[in-house]
Amino acid sequence: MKKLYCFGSSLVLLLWLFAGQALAQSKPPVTITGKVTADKTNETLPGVTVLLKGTSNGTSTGVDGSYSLSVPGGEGTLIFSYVGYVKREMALNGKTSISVSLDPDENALDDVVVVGYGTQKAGNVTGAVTGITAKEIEERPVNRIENALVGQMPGVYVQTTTGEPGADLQIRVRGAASINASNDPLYVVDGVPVDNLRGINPTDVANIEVLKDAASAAIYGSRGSNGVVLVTTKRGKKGAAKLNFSGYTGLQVAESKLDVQSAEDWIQMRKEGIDLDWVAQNPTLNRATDSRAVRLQRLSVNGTVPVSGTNVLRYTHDPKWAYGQDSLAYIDWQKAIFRRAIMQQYTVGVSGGTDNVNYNVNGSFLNQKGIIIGSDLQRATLRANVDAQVRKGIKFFLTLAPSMEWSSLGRVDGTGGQALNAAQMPPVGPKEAGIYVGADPYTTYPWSGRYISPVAVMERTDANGTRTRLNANMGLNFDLYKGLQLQLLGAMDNTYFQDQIYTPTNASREWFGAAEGSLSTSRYSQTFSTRYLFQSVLNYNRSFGENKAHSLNAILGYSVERTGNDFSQQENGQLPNDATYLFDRANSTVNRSYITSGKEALISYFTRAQYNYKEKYLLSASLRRDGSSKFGDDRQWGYFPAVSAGWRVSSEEFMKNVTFITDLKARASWGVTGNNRIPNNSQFALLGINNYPFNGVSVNGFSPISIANPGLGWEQTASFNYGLDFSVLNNRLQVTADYYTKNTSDLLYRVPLSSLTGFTRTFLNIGEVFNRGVEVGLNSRNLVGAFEWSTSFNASYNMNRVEKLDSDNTPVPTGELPGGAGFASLLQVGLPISSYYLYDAIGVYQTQAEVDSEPKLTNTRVGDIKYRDVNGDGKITLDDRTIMGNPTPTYLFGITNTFRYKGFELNVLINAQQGGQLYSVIGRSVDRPGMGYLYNHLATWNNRWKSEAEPGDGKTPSITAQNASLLDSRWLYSSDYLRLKNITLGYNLPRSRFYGSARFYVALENAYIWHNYTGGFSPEALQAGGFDNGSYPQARTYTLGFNLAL
Amino acid sequence: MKAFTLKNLTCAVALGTAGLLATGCKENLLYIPPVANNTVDEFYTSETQVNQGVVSIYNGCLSLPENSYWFLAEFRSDNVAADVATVQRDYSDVSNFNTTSQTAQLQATWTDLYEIVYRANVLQERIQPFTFARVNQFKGEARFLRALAYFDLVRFFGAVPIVDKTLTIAESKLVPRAPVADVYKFMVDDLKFAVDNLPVSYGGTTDRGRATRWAAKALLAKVYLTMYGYPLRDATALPLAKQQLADVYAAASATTFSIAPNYADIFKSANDNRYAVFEIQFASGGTGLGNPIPWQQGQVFPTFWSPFTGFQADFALPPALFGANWPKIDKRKAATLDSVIRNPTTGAITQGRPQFTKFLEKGIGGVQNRTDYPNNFPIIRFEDVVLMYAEVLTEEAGAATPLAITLVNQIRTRAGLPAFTAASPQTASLAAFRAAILNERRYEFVAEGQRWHDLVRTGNAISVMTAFKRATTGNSATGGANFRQLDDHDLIFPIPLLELRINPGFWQQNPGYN
Repeated sequence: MKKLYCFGSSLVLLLWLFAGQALAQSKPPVTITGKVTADKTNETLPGVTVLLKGTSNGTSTGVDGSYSLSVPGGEGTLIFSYVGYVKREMALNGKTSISVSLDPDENALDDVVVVGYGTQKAGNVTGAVTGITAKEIEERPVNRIENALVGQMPGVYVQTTTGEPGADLQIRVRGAASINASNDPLYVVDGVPVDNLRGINPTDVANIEVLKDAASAAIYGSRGSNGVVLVTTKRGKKGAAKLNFSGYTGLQVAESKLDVQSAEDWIQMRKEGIDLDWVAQNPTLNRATDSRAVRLQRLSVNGTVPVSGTNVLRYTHDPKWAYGQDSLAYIDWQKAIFRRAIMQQYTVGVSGGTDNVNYNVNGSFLNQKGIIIGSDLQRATLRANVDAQVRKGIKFFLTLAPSMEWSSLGRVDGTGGQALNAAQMPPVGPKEAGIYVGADPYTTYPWSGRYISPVAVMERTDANGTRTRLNANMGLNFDLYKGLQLQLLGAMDNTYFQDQIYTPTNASREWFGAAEGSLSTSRYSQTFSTRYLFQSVLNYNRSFGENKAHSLNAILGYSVERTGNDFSQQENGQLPNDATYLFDRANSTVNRSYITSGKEALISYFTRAQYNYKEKYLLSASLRRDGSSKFGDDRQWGYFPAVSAGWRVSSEEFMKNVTFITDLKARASWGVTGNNRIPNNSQFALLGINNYPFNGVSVNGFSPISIANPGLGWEQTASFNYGLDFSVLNNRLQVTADYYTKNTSDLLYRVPLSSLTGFTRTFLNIGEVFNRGVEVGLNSRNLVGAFEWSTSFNASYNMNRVEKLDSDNTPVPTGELPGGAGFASLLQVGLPISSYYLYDAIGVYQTQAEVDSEPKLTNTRVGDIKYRDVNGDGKITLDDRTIMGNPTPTYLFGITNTFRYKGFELNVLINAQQGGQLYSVIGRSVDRPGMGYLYNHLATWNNRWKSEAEPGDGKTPSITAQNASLLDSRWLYSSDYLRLKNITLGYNLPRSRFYGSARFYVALENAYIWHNYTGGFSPEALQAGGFDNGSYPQARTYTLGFNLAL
Repeated sequence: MKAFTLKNLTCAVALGTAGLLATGCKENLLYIPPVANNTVDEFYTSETQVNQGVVSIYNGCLSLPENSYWFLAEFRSDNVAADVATVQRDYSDVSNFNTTSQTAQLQATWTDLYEIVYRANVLQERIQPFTFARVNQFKGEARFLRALAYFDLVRFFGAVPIVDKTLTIAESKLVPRAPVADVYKFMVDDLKFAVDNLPVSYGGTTDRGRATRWAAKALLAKVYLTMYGYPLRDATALPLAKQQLADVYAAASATTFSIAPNYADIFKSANDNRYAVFEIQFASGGTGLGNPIPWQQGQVFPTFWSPFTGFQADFALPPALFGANWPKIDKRKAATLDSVIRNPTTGAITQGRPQFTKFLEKGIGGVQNRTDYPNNFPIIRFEDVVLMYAEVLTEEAGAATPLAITLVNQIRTRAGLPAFTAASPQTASLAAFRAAILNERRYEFVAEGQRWHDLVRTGNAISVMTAFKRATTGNSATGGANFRQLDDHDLIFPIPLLELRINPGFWQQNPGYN
């Protein structure tokens, strides 16, 4: 730490030393004027940068495209540059009036892409890098920047695992390389690695690049295995100050609903359950058709004994069922907790620059109500990017990006969450209680189970999260010698998260009979995460030889990162009443109170050289050495090398005559990356507290809680990539294709241990996984002219396969269901990661004859689920479980069609995935034999097996079927979907002197989805372990927005 | 203000290079020992720390009452009738003989028991360098608790692996399942060591509740008595049991253990460590050391019993307990279960479901949550010693001896029941007296996790349980008379699937299980 402070103060010192004036100009000035127009259309172009070559003297054109620049001596060359147009140079040669027209830039190859620790001309890239720019992000109403990546890049899988406002999206680059360590890519914002992209306003972003292959990512060493997402924010450009306003307002509605039983269905099923119990109570006498009066008569032993309340509920119907909705509340619980919710965001920005200082400052505010009552998010961000030329040869840059989030989230996702509760709530309640059934002051409906209204929970619990993030960095760039630069960078990214949740007694399902406050809990958690980085990079950039044919870029760098995490939590219960969540020791009891902390350090050395000859032969090589505190003594340091090469075939002499090919480049790369994302201290045998109360007094006890593992190291991925880029027909069609293999070894896995060791789990470097894939990206300008139509398409294929496990290839069970309810999947050599390993449910034993004649489990009865006898031994045993698929989709597709006419622009984005499966653990509550009659069920249970005479749909078993603890394929669904992800219709207003540009748009996000997932809300709802536990549904959003530049 | 000069440049280069190369202390930077925890290698350096290691073995036993005695043993017996028609729960599968190797409760119990074994083994290894006075006591406690864990392991799972040292991951895959007889021998060795090395009592109140010599002898007696019964049927164990029981019986006193004058008092927290030979210790306070049993056994509590209510009623008491089969004259009945609820302030009486309230101290304060009751759970009560002694004497003589009858009568008299005489039909034959003792044990220890093991050990489990299940599972769900005949394989549980998977094929599953 001390070291960082040292460098921080050095930077300040340097600033002070070099703060000064620019060298004065001495020659007499001549004023040059002119106008800049666009070629062909002759439209005037405002905001074009006009620069005197070799100096920082420049201006930009006004709204009518005219400019005026004072040039010393009236000599030199003017450079006209404008985004989207080809740069043009005009020599003055004594002229004082120079008007030019600029050609639209149709060759994207001259774009610069951001790569690790630097930039590179897109045309010279030899690895597999893909990206999107501000335009794609700005023009859509996205609340998280990851959202803008969906369906846009080949090989980049962005999954909205929960629809909760502000939640992290899951990004997977080229499949899954890891099993137990994280598969999240490394996020780098403006050159600084960060934990996530939370709190970044999408409109701040200039571009996002994803480094997919190992050769590109190897410069990030032990964190590069899952790909690297590089986010670059907008920086100021020289010119008059520009004011930008943008904003949108959207209306969100739930995208889908679970198909559960209606109130009528539920009552019918409940009646059938009661009748069965009634008949079983006295099979010789009782009949299902007996009236309520007859039943009460018999239960009271012909009137002599009062009938207990329990028996009335167990054996008789509620008379109100006959009257239907008049006397009972019929409730669609999903409807009750969903709402139409407004989302809006506004951004104000100023950008511009003078000769020496450029700046871009953006402030934004997002207010998003969740589509489930009681959930919302507000976010305010500020980002100030400042670049200053302090002296000739010394640049200073600064980013300040504080952000705040205020949220009321949680309570919806997962086991015990209200999404699941709403699905399983009985749809009938007492009339007076309505949607507050089960919540104070209303008791539960007597004929159903114990529960509490999810509406009451969401309304009465009070969840407040406040996340304060300060991301700041500052650096200096020195030109040391011809082409040699030194960059020093100090950065920090600190997050303070305070999370408060208050559950009053009246939001508890046990409130009845409990004193006010007695069941209340109030929890307050604080997390303070720190991340500090110091980095110095020497950069050498030189062209030499004849016509500067040889071009070399080399870097040499060092970085040190320290991260820390401090967490504390207090929870008190038994508060004095339901009036406040504030507590102290005098009026409550302490449920939990603790403080914990963790630290990490990473030290790195890295170097890279990129060479090209006439931009025809391209070579690159890099090496990184990482040392990490997370690993055992035996494996603390590792090397991560990479090499890549490219050949621009189209620049060869023999291609001169092949005119239809504009550009053709072949690429190949190899590299090694790592993955170190496992919890801290996994290498140590830690000691845990295990107290025991002798004679009522707690005595301290300690014992080991984990096994020591000095050999614990990172996962290592060696990856080959072969690519081809070509464009034909004057760049009308551009194609990028890649084939890759990734071999991950030393997989970090939290393996189940034999209980004989005293433990059930530990991290080991146990195995190898192989990934292979193909990616194709295609950009086509189908129609040009007044009506423009362009298409961008991407498709990717990925397969993965476990190659080796442990020392003896023992299959490892994975996908442990919550609550220890078994393992749904396994790792086995030759199969994809986390392949589902389940009994294959092929129907229901419809008749006793089927039970008698067909393979079955030992205790099978008629109406039970029928499983496939996989091994054909005539009985169903553990060995009949079989591989039923895996959670990773094999194919991903995205296609964007853009139509332009005059000022109108229509964008349609469709994305799709295919080949993955999803296991719905929601089924445990609403789709399982043995769940009984009391709660609600999936609507399919209307067609369950009831008797041989009423066999149902042949797929849904009897409600009392056995072996409900066996995990079978009934809850396994295909996660294939095709989604009309976004439709945006924009209109660019004609230019006016009042504004630089103005655009209005209407957008529909998540317009429509085609899928076959009936076990949950969304086929993307894949939570930890590969299940859907009941997640926050996704929203369909109707938006109206504008972008305005003044 | 100065112009940019070469001197500045030099300075910048120097600083930059320094940044690039300033790595002198890098190696230290990477060593970050756990901030929040100690590591094992830095521990066990003093008597206090070794003692804390012993305490952690006892801590492992906190889960025994719930995971072994209640969810497995009691639910398997005819003292609970679980209904499978409502909500699926593992204990319902246990009760209805429907467990599979994937039943989560089996894995949980297995893991908890081997955790006790592991902690006992850690202690024995880490204590090696020490010579302080309590070394042998600590070892004795560790081995006593290890035997306690193995006693459940062998009775629930049959042949189980014997682990007498800490294992590496590789070693753990290659421990064979030891024959049942070997497991018993292992337990006997542990308990003999404990008998030789544990003190007869502990001086300070802070140590009360630790295992004593008497606890070790009583457990050893119980192990011998079980060896005498199913499945080993080892006749040589009977005299060994008798010898231990005679010792423990003779040691009863007001300061050690005794028959409580009032049955209901035994389960009150005020009487913790007063009457029983060995108890699992619990304490309220919300620190995770409370007793979950009162809540687990309760079904629907009124708030004047406890603010923490039981489950929805998804298991029931069998008619044999709440009906006329168990006459009210037996004082134990009122202390064991409730079927009416009397409001202490209004005096109003409401009809409730028959439910176990043996361990529920009605209206007791200080309980923070539903698993936070303060009273201890008995593992070996003195009454158990008395009845085992009676049983051993009977088995030895082949008939009801006068001492055996006297012993049984100590229990019956306290319960308010008429004493047996030599003329009673219950003492007339060996079979009748065996049945009488078994019956006495049932009512004495109901809800304490003894019944199932008694049925198995005495060879009555299959007949009793098959008849019981036929009679009680009248609900449509289990089909009443369709209930299958139980057989030998039902007397033990399957090995949890996960444990079989660690080294597939190395262990065979217990017969009859998938």
